Amino acid sequence: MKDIEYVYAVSYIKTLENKMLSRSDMQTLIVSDGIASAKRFLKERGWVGESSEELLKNELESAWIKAYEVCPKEAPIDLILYENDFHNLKTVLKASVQNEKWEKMILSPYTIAPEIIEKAIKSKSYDELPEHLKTVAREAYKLLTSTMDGQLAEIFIDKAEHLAFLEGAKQAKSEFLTGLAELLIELTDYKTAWRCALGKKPKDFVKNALINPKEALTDTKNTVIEEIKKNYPDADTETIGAFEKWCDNKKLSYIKKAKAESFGFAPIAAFLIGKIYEIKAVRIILTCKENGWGEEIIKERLRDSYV
Amino acid sequence: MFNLGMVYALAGVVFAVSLAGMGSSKGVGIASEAASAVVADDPSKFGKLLVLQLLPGTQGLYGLIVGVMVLLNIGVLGGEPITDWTKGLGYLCACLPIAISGYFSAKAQGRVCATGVNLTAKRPEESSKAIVSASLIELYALLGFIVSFLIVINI
Repeated sequence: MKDIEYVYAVSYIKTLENKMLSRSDMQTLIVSDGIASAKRFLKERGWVGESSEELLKNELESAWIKAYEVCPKEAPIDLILYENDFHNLKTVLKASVQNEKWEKMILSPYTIAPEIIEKAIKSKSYDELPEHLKTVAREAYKLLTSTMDGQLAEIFIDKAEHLAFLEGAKQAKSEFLTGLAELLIELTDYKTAWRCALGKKPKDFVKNALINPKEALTDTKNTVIEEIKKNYPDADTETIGAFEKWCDNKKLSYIKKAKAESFGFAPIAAFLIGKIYEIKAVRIILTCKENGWGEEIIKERLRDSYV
Repeated sequence: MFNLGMVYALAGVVFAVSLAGMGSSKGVGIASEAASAVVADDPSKFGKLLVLQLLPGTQGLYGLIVGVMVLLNIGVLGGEPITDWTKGLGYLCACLPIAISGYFSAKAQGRVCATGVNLTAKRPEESSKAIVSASLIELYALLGFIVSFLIVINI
């Protein structure tokens, strides 16, 4: 699609972007006097709902509904929801095999309802699933039921998610999304390698877990950190938690580059991903407020903000 | 009335008016699409965005002015029709600067105006900067217009 076909959508999305919570709004939320005060602040900013979960869900869904409304039909909006779809597949698959409830662990919005995923898994008929989930759901089910190793199934689904996102981005001919997919694959490999090194997993397991296997990433924790530092000297490798936070911020700084653009799908994708970040940040603040945790804990957990 | 000179001159008029007009309609279309999205959310910004929507439209007017001047000079709108083919060719050449610069500058200006619309939506107080940026492109349409104008009045 020509970038000019997104002019209306981009301008509309920019008006929504201007209403996102700024850094100072986040600060106000953090210092607000309890959960009731935080919710009141959000409602004053146009967020709809009573419970924290409702506020978050409605706000995120409304951003998606508006994006679908204003974007041309061919816009690859669904690609951004792959992350939620694959997360829901992991959740429903594990819960179905272990006869557990999954409703509270579902991420929305999604391109396919988790009930349909459950039905497909239980009936072992995957035709109703969308293309990006069909094969992976079948294979992951086989893997999980034959090995009963949840971690292995998760790794398999995570790999499939990143590869499906990369493939979709290439098909959509979106340079922005392709670059994002490549960055995510690289960062995910580092995180996986680090976790495997901490768990002292065998080399073969690590190689299988990595999306782009590299010898340096299948060795010890120090070798993994050296490899990360070689490619990203500014990476925070103090602890795995700090590195994961750095990865989130790295992703955010990548999508922020599209903020200045006025044409094409990139600024719309950036807004939608930025909205997910905003919702995650507000969720952290509200959860901390509900549990009466202090400002220090909130600040420690918060990532950079999109606006 | 119709001779080779007249055909050349009329072809020039067609180029000046239609190419500059096509560029303007594209440019105004792009800027207006962007502005409509912003106005849909906040109708009070309509006034500030109007200038940005109109700016790419000027090239069409320049093309029209040059076209009408040629029509007056070649006798289509009264007076003696031209008979010299070299004169007609001269008018055709006179029309090309505004036709070409008008078409390309209007399209480019439409994109800059759409970006300016987004800037104004975010920071309404900076709308004048968006207009100045878009006006920089106007200069090149104006240069084309001046050259076309000078040639037409000197034939």
